[in-house]
Amino acid sequence: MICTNRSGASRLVALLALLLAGFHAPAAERSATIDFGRDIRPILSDNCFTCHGPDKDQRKAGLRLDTKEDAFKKFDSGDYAIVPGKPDQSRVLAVVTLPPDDDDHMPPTKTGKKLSAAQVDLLRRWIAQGAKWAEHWSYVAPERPAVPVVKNKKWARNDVDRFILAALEKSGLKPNAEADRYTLIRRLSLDLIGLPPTVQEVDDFIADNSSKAYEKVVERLLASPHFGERLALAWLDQARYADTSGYHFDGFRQMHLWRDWVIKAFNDNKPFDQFTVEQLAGDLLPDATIDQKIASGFHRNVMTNDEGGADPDEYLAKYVVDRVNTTAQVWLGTTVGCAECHDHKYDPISTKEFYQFYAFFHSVPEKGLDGTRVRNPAPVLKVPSPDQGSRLIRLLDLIPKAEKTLADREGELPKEQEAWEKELQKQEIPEPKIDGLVKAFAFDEASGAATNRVPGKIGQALSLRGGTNEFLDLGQAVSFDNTNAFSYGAWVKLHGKTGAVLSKMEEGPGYRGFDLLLNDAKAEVHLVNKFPDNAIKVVTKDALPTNAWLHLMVTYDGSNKAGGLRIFVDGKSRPLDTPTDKLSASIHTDAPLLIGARIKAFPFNGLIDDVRFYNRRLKTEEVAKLASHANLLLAKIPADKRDDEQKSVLKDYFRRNAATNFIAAQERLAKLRKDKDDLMEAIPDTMVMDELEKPRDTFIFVRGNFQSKGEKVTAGTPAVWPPLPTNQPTNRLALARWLVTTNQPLTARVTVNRYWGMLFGTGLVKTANDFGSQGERPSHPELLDWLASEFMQGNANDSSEPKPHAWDVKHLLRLLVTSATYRQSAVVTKEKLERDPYNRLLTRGPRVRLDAELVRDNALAISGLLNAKIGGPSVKPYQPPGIWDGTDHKYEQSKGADLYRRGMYVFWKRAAHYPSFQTFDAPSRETCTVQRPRTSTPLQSLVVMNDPVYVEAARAFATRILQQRGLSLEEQLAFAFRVALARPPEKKELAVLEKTYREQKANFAQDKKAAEDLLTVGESSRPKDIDAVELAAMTGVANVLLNLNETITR
Amino acid sequence: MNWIEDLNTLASRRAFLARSSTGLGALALGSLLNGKLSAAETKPSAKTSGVIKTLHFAPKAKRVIYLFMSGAPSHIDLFDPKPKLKELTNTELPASVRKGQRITGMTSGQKQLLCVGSPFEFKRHGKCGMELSELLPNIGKIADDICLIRSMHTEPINHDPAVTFFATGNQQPGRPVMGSWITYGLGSENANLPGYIVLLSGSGGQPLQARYWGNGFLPGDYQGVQFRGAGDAVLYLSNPKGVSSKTRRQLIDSMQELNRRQLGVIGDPDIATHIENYELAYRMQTSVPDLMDISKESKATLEAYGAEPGKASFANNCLLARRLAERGVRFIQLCHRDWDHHGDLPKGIRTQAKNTDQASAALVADLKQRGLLDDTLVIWGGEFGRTSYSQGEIKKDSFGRDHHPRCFSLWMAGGGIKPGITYGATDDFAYNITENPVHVHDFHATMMHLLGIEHTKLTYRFEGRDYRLTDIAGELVKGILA
Repeated sequence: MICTNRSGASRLVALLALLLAGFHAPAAERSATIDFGRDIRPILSDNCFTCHGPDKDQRKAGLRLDTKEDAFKKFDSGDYAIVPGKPDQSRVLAVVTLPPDDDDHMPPTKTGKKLSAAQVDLLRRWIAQGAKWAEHWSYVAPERPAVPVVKNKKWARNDVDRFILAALEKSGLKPNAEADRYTLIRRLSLDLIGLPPTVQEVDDFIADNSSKAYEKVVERLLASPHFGERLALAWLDQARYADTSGYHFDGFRQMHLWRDWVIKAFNDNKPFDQFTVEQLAGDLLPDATIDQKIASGFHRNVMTNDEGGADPDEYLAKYVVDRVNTTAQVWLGTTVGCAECHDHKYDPISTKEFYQFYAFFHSVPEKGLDGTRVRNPAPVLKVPSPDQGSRLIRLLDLIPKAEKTLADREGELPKEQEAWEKELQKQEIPEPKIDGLVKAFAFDEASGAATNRVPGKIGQALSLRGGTNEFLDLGQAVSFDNTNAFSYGAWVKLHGKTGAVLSKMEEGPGYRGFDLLLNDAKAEVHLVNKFPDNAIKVVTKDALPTNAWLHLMVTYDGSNKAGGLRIFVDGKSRPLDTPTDKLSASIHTDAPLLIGARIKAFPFNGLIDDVRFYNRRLKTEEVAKLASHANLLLAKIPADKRDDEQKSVLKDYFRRNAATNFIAAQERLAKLRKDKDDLMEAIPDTMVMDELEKPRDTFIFVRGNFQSKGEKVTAGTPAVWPPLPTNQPTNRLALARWLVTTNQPLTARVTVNRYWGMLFGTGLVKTANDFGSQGERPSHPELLDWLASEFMQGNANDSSEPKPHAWDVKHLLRLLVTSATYRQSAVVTKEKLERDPYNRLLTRGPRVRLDAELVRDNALAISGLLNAKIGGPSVKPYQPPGIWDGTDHKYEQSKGADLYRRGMYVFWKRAAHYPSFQTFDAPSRETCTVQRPRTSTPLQSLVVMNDPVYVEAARAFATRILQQRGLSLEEQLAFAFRVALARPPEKKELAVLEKTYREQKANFAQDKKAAEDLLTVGESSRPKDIDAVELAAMTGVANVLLNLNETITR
Repeated sequence: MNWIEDLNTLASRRAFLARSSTGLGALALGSLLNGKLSAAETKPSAKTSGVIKTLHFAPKAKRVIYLFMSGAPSHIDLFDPKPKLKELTNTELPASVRKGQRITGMTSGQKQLLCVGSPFEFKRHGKCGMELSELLPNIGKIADDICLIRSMHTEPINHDPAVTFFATGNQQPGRPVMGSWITYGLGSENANLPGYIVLLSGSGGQPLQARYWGNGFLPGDYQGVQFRGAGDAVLYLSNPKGVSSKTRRQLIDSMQELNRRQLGVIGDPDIATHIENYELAYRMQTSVPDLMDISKESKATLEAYGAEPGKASFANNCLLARRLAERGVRFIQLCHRDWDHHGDLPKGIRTQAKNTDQASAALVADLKQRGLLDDTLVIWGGEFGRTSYSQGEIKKDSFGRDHHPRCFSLWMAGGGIKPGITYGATDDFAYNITENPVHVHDFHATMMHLLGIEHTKLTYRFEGRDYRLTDIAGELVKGILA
């Protein structure tokens, strides 16, 4: 934002350089010999390749200038584009020097491109010198160059320095002196573990007089468990690791097991070749371990979609394309994405080759629309913790045993039932004594019209056929009101799904009264003053069995609330839906009590027996007794006299209520199964790669359109690079291994360049994401090759295999941080700013703003709040309200110690990024990011001044300062300075802090409420024994320290 | 003079240079703090503070207000009257019209694709006689000021890729949006505010992703900065509780003293930038709340927009858009949600039309009255159109419409646009374009042209390729230029 500030520093430098320095001719104009790769290829690539490069469909005039063979070819016309040694006969030179209005002028004016006079001159001189051609530098495997001889024999500490110094000596510039120890330990700590050194660590280093003092610090940091976290930061950007799916709904996912694998891999110093193979193809390794399968999740970090109506095939293709692009970016430093639609315009990658690469990733058993917005889409791997694992094993052992026990108990049921019946037959079974009975209707004697009597549940029952007038009118037999507690119910057997059991209710529109219905096989109750504005309506969630005896009982507590109303079925309270819950007035009515109908509607077809009304709310056990009584009576009937229904009901009753052993076995099994389900739910899973048994066919998508299938292709790698090994199947595993073979020209160069960039701010190749034809050439080509070779081959002269230090990341970093180059002071002189404005010559030590996560980590560490826990699910620290509004997810902020976890564990929502990270240039990780931009804006200033994270950190830091009780104010402030910046303050700096403290103390003494207010920011507690005014004033000092340029820079 | 002092002076002089190079001349410093640009002072100039140092054409517009209607409003029910379609209601969409068009998974399984005409009346408005739906009475009143394009078309058939396409010229996430390109090219006119500001309103419907105002591969400075209706307008703008403006100033003074000392020792120009940023941040603490406070607007103005101070709404955002335009913000983007009417369209579209019609029209009228419409380009539209066949059953008062990329309507006003015209046409089904198609790339090219930019010339090299907003296409739509 605020455009005046974008890349402020670099513009400033440019401006300054322009104002203060003279014009410097490019390297080529000073040196006599033209270097094709350095001087000529960039001109051809930028100006000519679009029409005369690798893209065969766009190629004009049959001329191709990106390969040696084609560039020197004879045209049909007899002309040559380039004739070595003969500029005048070279058509290339002729056309670029034609007047712009000539039709043959190149590049065509409409492209907006134009060669400068200097470029034309270079071309001419190159041809005159014999037009020496060279393959693009990054496509030729690096060979270990000889270490240059330097004049200054004292400065270099290792070979890295000799390459740097050689270039410096050529330029006439001198390296800076070594930085002081305070700067060095702070730089090392923040670079290698992403955390500042403690005061104790600084003191130890200062006091260490041994010649290896520096190396000791390096070794301590390389061995720290936080090393893996620091190294993972950039890798997570490259792997586009996030906690949400990215497209459209941006649903949640869970990949922290993969992220923790990365941290551990760096900590274990897993060699980079294995690191590569396990992440790209861990699942395909022979006898793959769980960890290797977790690692394979690298390519499941792709964004996935679940937008309604989207085409699954379209998105499946997008996932695969992203894998191709990411693989090429991360390992080959090459953009291949252009070739999705057409042959690459600058680099020799054809569309066919793109889809051959695509085929490697095309057979993952995944869906184009992930079908889930809340969990990981398949394929996933569940990974129990050791504790969860042993509990699962135990449950998996216990469940079959419990199943066996249950089967045994079931087999014993008939015998047990017989014994139980015998016991019952000896006893009287009295009707349960339950208080509050107002009315009971047994229907044992016939009377009235609709009064058919048939054998019922107990004695006789009322039998109704569902005719409209076929109900029983019981007049004013009962009367209840909304504030009374009451209960009512009956035994019913309904044919069909709908019918009123009973009602005492007026006609519409008011429907005042109460009822009990079966409606579409669900039990339904209304208590109504006026429907629906003043009424309760509840319905059982589940449908009930029909054509079978059911005991229904409604209980109500007089509360006017649906919550006070329950429906029991066969003695058990049933879960209810509550469509209406707005009762506040009387339900009393003079309408008659009807059995088998409601206001002449809902006629009942079936049997109704034992209707009861109570003037209190029955307890659960009372209802259960009522329900079981009728069934117990069945036991009294001699076994041979029971009809089939009675037999079945009694058997069922016994199983459910009286078969103690069987019931216990059933409950135990149910509990074990639930435990297992709960455990499975709690076990984290992670997305992994897998292969379909039958691979999908891959076709070229013409112009990148997934609906337009062209030629069928099989997996393969582009011809410009060495061939795949032939001794194994051509699959992802082969691809992964191919990336880390020692004749692979790019992987090692690309990787060491990124580590160089991590430590020095800029890579040796500035365009870390493009090593192709359009990328920038390395500032120190020999050094890059030397490092790549060292990285790939380790101690090449050692006879053991694998070579010591082959693909050894810690070895590489050790080499870099122990160099004199790295150890230089960062002080800039006027001359160096003029002549080496961007420090590409390494005339001084690196000085760069911390990455987004580290700005926060550093503040938390300084404050003492940092929770250094490593790994685990992501956390959600303070965030202003509304950030997630656009995506309709609710932000549930974490509590307690999770608020102070390191930034890399902050929940990464792709559609709505954690705001302060976004402000500090962290990418949303929708796609692979190799290089974060590094801007400096006022929005960043606002974050560090006012984001509660930093305000709370300032308060905690202030507490820490004031708790140094033995110290004077001046000593406390000096301590604070050292905690924040490692170095002791200068006198004048101390004076500024002291002035600030006194100023703020005066402010807050005048406004104690302001002091208290400031101290409430953040959820951590504050000690009560520190005066609020002093603490608030010191919080001001802490805020100053946290906001310094020096604090957020290293 | 010591060279470190040079750095310090340069840091502040640079900010000044950036301002004065906008062509505002002496006006710059004075009016920025007051934040008002009068019409006379905003005469387009060929110089910018962005990467385009000299504009490719004389610009007609200096800034853009983009009213993005998220979810895709139905052109058939708002902008493109089709009496014939009404007659054909409940008849199958002819295959000769569909022409094998790919349709979404939401209707591709339907047994029938039955046409459904709009239940809303269309009337002619203004001297130009522009036909608009009864749902847009207020836009009707500005008909003579706007240019209605009925022949927009796009490529994707789903929201996320379509919004991404409209915003960036590409369906896949990763490229910069229009606002980022424009501020990258033209820079900002106000050093105290971001050049690209985003305001959101509405809820429900399609989600809004931060990448719809994302800078893609451009530097983070070109990210759209979201100004919020609730809480801090700019995140973390307010001091913490208990920290007064005076305290903040004292603390910043202390920081700057220490920063300046460090600049003297190390000499790193980054430190000078850091110092300057804190001063800007401090100034924003005053200028932004002042900007967001609409309570001092006249009663008549508030009523014209339907805005209510303190409430988050599209109407408030429209009024804020005018205030931002006055302060020279380059690209102002409003996103209003919930136009995705797959079912019960008549009810849903009525609600959204009510939520947006008055304020959209008021914004154009207000800009015009203040002389700002001449150099402000206002754009109103969604990501695609909707189908002429119903999604789901056609009931008496209810039906739905699915996504339709082959045509949709969009209107523009001000900034070099020919007012009072209707451009392009569609067939009787509002399904295919019959006249003057305008592809999204063409729209982008035209918008850039109005701002003085040749769309093929504003490029950014990323991963070896020179990217541009219009990808590899884009034709200027001459017929809509004033």
